[in-house]
Amino acid sequence: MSENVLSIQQLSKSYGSLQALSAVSFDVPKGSIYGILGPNGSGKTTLLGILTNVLHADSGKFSLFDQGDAADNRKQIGTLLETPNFYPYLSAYKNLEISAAIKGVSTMQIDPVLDRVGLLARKNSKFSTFSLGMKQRLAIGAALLGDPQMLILDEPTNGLDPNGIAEIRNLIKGLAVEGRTVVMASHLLDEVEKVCTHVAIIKNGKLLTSGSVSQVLATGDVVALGAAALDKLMGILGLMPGFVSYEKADKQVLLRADLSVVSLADINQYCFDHGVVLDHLVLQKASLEARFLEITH
Amino acid sequence: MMKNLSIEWLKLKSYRTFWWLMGLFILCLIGSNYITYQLKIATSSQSHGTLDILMGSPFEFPDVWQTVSYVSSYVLFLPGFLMVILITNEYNFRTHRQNIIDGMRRSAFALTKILVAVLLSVFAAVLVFAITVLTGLIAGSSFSLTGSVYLLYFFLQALTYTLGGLLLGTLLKKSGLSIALYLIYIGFIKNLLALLLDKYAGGIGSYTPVKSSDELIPMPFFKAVTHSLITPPDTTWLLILTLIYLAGFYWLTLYRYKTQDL
Repeated sequence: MSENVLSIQQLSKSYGSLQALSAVSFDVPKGSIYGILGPNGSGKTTLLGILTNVLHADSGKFSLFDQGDAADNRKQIGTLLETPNFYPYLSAYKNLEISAAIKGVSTMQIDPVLDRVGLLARKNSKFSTFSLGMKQRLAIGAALLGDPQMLILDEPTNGLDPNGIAEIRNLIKGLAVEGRTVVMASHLLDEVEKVCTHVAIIKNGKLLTSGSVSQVLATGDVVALGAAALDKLMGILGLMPGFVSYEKADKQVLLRADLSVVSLADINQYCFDHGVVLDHLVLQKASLEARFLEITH
Repeated sequence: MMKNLSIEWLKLKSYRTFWWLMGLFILCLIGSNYITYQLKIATSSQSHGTLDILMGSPFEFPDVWQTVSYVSSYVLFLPGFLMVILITNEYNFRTHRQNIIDGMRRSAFALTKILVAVLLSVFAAVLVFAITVLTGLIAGSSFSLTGSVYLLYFFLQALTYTLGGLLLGTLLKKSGLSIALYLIYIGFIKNLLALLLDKYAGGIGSYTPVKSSDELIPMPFFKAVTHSLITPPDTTWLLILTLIYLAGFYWLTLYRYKTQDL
């Protein structure tokens, strides 16, 4: 059992009659890249807002690291919440000077961080002159100040060009390799699928599923079967151990089965034993997109 | 707290509006007192000293404490205005939440802003002290601390304006609305409220928020005449209410910032 850096228990929050978050619980293991997925307005930012103390939960609690003081904990977390928030009349460097002062981090760290997000050449330019992508980079730079053990990133690739997106993706992967934990909210499934090790899916404030990406996706896997005698094949599948459901598609049968009970070899053997010779047997891995649409609909 | 104050300084020192408003405030303080002083000299010489009997010697010790404090109080809307801008800026830039996200305590954020309001008020009082001493000496009188309680009243009035501005900005968050309401209250609603309460509620108009601190320093000119015409409000009560309002502003600002969703 891996150590958890963040444990969320029964967090709820409502805005008037709107239930933004409804008894959400999950654990974030150390060193994981935890994707929080959900449609727009599903409660992702509300959840992250509670974790960073800008919102108050109605009920429930969460524990960070080994507990300790909440404000000190926040100093060890690099956070980008919704939009990049900086003083527009100050330069990139001076803005980070303020972040560094609050976090209690040396100003010596500012230049390396600006370099890492590609803004060193513009360090003396006012924040108000930055493009959306540059603002986003500066926010990520601010999050990296102080070598945080954990990062909370809300839509980190917002406003970035394809190069920028790839850079941030590599940056996030690099952070995980260094043993840091990243909690990332996104509605971009492709982005989450490419970098995340774990995922939680939220809709209308409710947690629909959570766990490692392979766990969440596993139940969505489909085995495509083909045989000359398709009707006979469909007749025997119902009694197979681990069987869940099937549907006929063109010249194939798409089988859903609990693959922890029955392996592909078992399926082949079962069909052969029952007089059906398969001419097609392929495991179709579910994409996160397909799984997401399935869960949220 | 020193650390948080130095963070506040990082925000302020490159903020041009801050320096403009501070410059304007200093200029208006000196200017308004200078003009009043010149007016007094002009009217005295035109009336060949006859008006002096009615006016008294407002620019000589000990009356100069009251006079300079009274005249200067008209410029106090500027530091209050500055406080409204400073707090609503944080909401506009959403840095009020970024500071918390980065690890500042909510109470520390609010207390730092309160401290800025206090420091602005101290600064205003120090300036008024300097102008008072200078004017009193220029007017040819010798220094005396008699009547210097008006400087304390001026300080309380400055606190009322700055902390009031801070509270209003904290409650309303939106800069345009806060600035408009602040100026309208200071310039119009405050006096209308006092007038209505005086007329319909048994003369308690002087004890409303901000008004009670204004009334601590009565008009210094024509004292002899005004005293015989109107009964001034009770200074002890004005002082007590001013302090209660100040405590209320302090507590509400802190409470609001600690409990609201940012």
